Parts: sequence; structure tokens; C-alpha cells
Amino acid sequence: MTDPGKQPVPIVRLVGVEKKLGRQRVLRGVDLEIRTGENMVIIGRSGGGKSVLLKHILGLMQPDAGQVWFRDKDMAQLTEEQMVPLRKETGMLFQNGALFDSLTVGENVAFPLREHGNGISEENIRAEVTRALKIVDLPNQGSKWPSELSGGMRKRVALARAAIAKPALMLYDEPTAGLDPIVADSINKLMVRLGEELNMTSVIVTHDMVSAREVGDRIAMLHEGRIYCVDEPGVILASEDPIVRRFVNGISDASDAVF
Amino acid sequence: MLRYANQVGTRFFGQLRMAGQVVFLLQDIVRCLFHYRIRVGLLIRQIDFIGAKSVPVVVITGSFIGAVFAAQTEFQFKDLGLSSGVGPVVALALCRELGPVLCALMIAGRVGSAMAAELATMKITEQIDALRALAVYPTEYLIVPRFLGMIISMPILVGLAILCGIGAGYYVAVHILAVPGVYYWNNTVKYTHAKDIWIGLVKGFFFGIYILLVGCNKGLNAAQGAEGVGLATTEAVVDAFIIILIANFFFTFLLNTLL
Repeated sequence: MTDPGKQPVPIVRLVGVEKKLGRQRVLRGVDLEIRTGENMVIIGRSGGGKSVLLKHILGLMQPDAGQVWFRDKDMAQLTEEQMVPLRKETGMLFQNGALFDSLTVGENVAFPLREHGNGISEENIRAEVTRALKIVDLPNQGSKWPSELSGGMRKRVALARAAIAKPALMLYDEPTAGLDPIVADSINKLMVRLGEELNMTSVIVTHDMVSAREVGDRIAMLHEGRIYCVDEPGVILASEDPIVRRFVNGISDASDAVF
Repeated sequence: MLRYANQVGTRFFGQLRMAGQVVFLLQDIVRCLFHYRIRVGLLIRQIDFIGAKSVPVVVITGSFIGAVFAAQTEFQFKDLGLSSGVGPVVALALCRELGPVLCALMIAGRVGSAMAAELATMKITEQIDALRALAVYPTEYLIVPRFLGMIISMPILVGLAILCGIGAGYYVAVHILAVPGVYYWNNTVKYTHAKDIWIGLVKGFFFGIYILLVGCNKGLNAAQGAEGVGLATTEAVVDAFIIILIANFFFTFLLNTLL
């Protein structure tokens, strides 16, 4: 662990977050600090509550117990409308993109600027959208409809939409899942670049270990509803702990493979 | 026995909860009306969808109900020598009951179902979460334009249904069944008062609000998956139908004393 005296201020702090969905206790007391400017990768089994955790950070879900601090505000205490100004500082990439299918690709990407652009001119918006689409390697696709795109393309459009307003905090839900290795790599590089150039803080939920290693400044492992460990990628990858080792190396129990 | 009681209880509380959700939704809509600028573009799109695109359906409904009602009334009244009374009977029935109720049923089927399906799809594909994540309050962006579109369109559609019904009734009675046109028309005008038309329009207005609230509420609270969308759509239509028919009874007495 790094020296606590050097720790920058956390932008997000989760304290004892618990959440039950139906009868399943998905989160059982999550404690996690995300520091300003870092790329925090959260790994864990599928269905282990990683996406749920991410949604708590934005207040899209409310915890049953615990606190979710974003800067100096506890999201768990705010109403939906009080969160709106806080969410202007955040962006989220959803697992399947979640593009608005009543809007074209270009309108989707322009959405944050049109909503909160503070009177930015239509001409500038168009220029920004063109630039953003070029960055995600989808030039001249602005007039298409989301339904005309493949899953990977949709995800990249969604990334452009989430990042175009240059939020201080970006949340990525499985950014590389379902993409071919080359696109996945470009997304990884993009995430790193956004973090460096715009000084964004990123929280990346993934079970893609390649992505975790490449992007993460720190890796947190969510296991059975709690944060099992948090450390730098090198430490996690070299960990001797059986649970971490099994996940990192992708080893199933013999008993997992029995029908 | 106990299971039966349990089922009835669950159903009852389900309805009660839905009633509560609908009231809160209405309260939220009214609040948003005063707190946010109205989105003219989205409103126009909704007026087009709810109002303009419903015109053919409403014209056909109104016309054929008026035509059939005039024919049946004339068949019965002829033997009593009351042919000149057909006009006002048709007009009053259309203004007070048939126009608003049948128009509302058609709109519930066409618009209420579409709203429920669209919002439910947006919910399960995380588009509503995406909207929230992009710092837009869903009620304000999604529901308010639909609400305004509905309360603007509905009275006009009801008026149109009434007009078409009276016109078609006149045509059938006078041109097909040879009722003297002058008597028919003069009696229609003489016995139809502003109050009768008001009753129709006011009923239509409130039915419209109800269709909207049920449709949106079902959509926003849809369960996951394709099944959830289907269920939300069906329930939106069935619930709206039932409530329109029951509420109509009470409206009739209430408006008869009030207006």
C-alpha cells in the first residue's frame, strides 16, 4: 500500500455500501476509495455486482445501507434532481452502449453538449461531434441510426457520447467486452489517453485482465459482495492469494466444470 | 383458501401501489412543468404522434359510430313518429358519451400502448439510466412533452370525433333513411347546448391524462426482458380501458351537476 500521507483526495468514497436485489445480497458492505486522477479497475466474477457497484457511484441505484460520497456529497442522501448537477461532471459508458434509438449517432454524441453546453454554437457542436467520432474510429457515421451499427460500434459511439463533455469522472462498464482484440486495445489506449490528457478519473469495471493490466493504476477485486483487495496491477498479478490467483489466471475449480 | 386470499391481497395492494405511483408521477410532471423550460421540439413531435397521426383512427371511429347510432335510432323512432328527434339524440349521445369514451379507448390502444412499449424498451436497454447519467431528469425529458402533447391533442381529437359522428349521422339519416334534413338539423342545434360539448371535451381531457399516466407508469416500471415490455404494454391498455369506462360513469354525474 502507498503511504497514506501522499494519497490525493478521493473523488469517490464508498463506505459500507450494501444492496439487495430481489433476495440476493449483491453488495455486502463495499468500502472503496477512488483517488482523483487515477484509473481504478474493478475486477470480479460475472454477476458479482460490479455493474451494480458502478451504478451506485452515479446514484443510478440507491444503497440499502452505507454511504456513497462524490466529492463532499453523499449520493445516498440526495434526490434524483439534486444529483443532476453532480452528474454533469461524470460520464458513464454502459455495457451495451445504451444509445438513444430515437436519435441518430451524431445526435447521440452531441446530446451532452446540447443539454449542458452553455450556449455552445451549433457549428462548434458539429465540429466536436466529428472530432469525437473520428477519435473512436467511426468517421462519417454521424447520420446513421444506432440500430444500423454493430455492438462494438455502438459501444464506441457511447464512449464518444460519454466523453465529449470532458467529465471529471468517467465510469466504464465492461468497455472491452464483446470487442475484437484490436478494437479492445484501441479502447484501452483511449481510456488511458483520456485520463492523461484531460486528467479524468476513471473507474473501469471489467473481467478482461489484459485491459485491467494495461489501463489500471490500481486494481480492486470485488468478491462475494465485498472489496477483497485493492492494489497496484503488479502486486495483484503476482498475488499468492488463492482467490486472486484463480481469477487473474482464469482457473476454474474442477467442481465448477461438473454438470 | 389462504393462497386465494393471498392472491387477492397481492392483486389489491398491487393496484393500490400503482394508484400511488400514478399520483406521484402526476405530481412530478406538474412540478417539472414549472421548473424546466418546455422542450418545444419534443412537444411538436409528440403532438404529431399523439394528435396528428391519430386523426384517421378517430375520424373513422367517430363517423361510423355516429352513422350506426343514427341508423339504429331512426329504425326505432320511425315507428313512433319521432324521426325529427333522431338528430339531437345522436348529437347528445356523441357529445356526452360516445365521442369522448370511444375516442379515449382508441387513443389508449394506439398511444397508451406505444408509450408503455417505448418507455419499457428504453428502461430495459438502460436508455433511461443513460439519460440520468447524462444529467437529464427523465420526467422532464420523456414524460412532460408526452403529457403536454396529450392534453393538447385529446380535446381536439374528441371534438373531431363528435363532429364526424354528427356529420355521419346526418348523412345516414337524411340521405339514406330519408329523414327531413331541416328538422333533423334544426332540432340538433336546438337541443345541443354548449354544456354538452363541454362535457365531452372535459371528459376527453381527463381520459387523456389518465391514458398518459398509466402508459408512462407501466413503461417506467416495466420488468426486465421482452416479457416485461409485452406485459407493460398489455397492462397499460387494459388498465386504461377499465378505468376510462368506470371513471366515465362518475364523470357523467359529476359534470352534469358542475357544468
